[in-house]
Amino acid sequence: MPIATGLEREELEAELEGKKRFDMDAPVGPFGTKEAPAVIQSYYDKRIVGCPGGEGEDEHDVVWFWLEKGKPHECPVCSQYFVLEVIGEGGPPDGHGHDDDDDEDH
Amino acid sequence: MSLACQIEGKFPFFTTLGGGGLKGGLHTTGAKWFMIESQRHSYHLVDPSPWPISGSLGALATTVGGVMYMHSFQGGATLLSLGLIFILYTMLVWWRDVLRESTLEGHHTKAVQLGPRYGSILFIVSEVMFLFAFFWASSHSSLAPTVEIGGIWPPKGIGVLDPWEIPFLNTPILPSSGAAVTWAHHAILAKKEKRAVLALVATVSLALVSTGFQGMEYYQAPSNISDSIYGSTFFLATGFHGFHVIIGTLFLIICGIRQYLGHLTKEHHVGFEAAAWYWHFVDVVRLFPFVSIYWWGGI
Repeated sequence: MPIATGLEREELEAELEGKKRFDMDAPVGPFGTKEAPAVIQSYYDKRIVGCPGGEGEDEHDVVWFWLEKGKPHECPVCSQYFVLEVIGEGGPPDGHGHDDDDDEDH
Repeated sequence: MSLACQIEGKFPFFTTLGGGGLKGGLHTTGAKWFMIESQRHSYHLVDPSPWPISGSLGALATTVGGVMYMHSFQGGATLLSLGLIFILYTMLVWWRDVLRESTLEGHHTKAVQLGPRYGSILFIVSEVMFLFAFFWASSHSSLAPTVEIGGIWPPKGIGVLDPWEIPFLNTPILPSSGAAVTWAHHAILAKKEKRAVLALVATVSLALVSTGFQGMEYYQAPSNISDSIYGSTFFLATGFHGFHVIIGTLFLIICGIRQYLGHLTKEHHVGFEAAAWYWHFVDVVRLFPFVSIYWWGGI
C-alpha cells in the first residue's frame, strides 16, 4: 500500500480488493418492460435517469427524466419501462427538505 | 486509516493550518471521516479560498504599476513591486494549499488528478504558441531584411555571437537534463526513492549550468536588446526561453524536495509529471533558437 490518506487511500484500498470505492457508473441492464422493468437503484426518493433506447437500430437520443419512488416511468420514445429502487436513506436528493411540490414554482 | 493518522501526527503543523475557514474543523476532527465515508462521488469539491481574488488584485496592481513605472509616474515602482509581491505570495500559498489538499488530506483521487493533467498540457500548448510568436518575428525580420537594416541579416553594423562557441556548447545541456528527468521518472516508477532524488539533483544541476552559460553569453554579447530589430528579436526569444528555463528549474527543485519528503509515489506523482512535461517543452524549444537564430540567423 503506497503512502496516501483520505479518499485517495480508500480508492486505492478498494482497488487492491478488486472493488470500487465510488459509485460513478451509469446503470446498465437489459431493456425494461412492464413485466420486467429496468430497476434503477437510488440513495434518495428520486433520481435523474436517461433512456438511450434499445440496441442497434432501436437506439435513440438520450431522453432525460426524473424517476420517482413508486412512480414507474415509460419512455415516450421507445416505451422502455423503469422503476426506482431506493437503497439509501431516501428523502429528497437536493437536501432542501421535503417540499417537492414547492420546488417547481421557483 | 492508521497510516493516515500517522501522517497527520507527523505533520501536525500542516493539518492545523490546512483547509481553513470556520468549517476547517472538518479536516482535523472525526467529522472528516464521517464526511469522507459518505461521499459516493470521486470529485473534490473545494473549500472557498481567498487566493483567486488576491491573485487578481496582484495582477491589477502589477499592470497598473508597470504602466505607471514605464511612464515615470510617481509611485509606479512601488505599486509594481507590491503587485509582484502579491502575486508571488498568492502563488506560494495557493500551491501550498493544493499540496495540503492532495498529499496531506487525500482529496486527489484518480478522477481529480485528471484536472491538473489536462490543465498542464493546455498550459504548455499556450506556452508553445507564445514562443512561436517570437520565432515568427525573428523569421519575419530576417528572411526579407528591409533597407533600414542594410538589406542584410544580421543587420549592417551589428555584431553577433559565434554559434559554435557557447551557444553550441549550451544546446546539448538542456536535452541532457531532459534525459536526467526521464531517469528520475523511471526511478519513481521503480520505487527507487533515493535514486529519484539523485536524478532530480542531476537534472537541476544541468539546468543551472545551462542558465549560467546563458548569463555568461549575455554578458559577453556584442549587442543588446536596443540594437536594431536583430537585438530586439534575439533577446526577446532567447530571453523568454531562458526565463522559461528558470521557471522549469524552480518546478523541478520543488519536485526534488517533494521526492525527498516522500510525497511522490509510483501511483501518484502528477506534480512531477507536469514538471517533466514542462521541462521537455523547454529543452526541445532550445533547439529552435539555436538553429534559426544563433546559427542560420548569425552567420
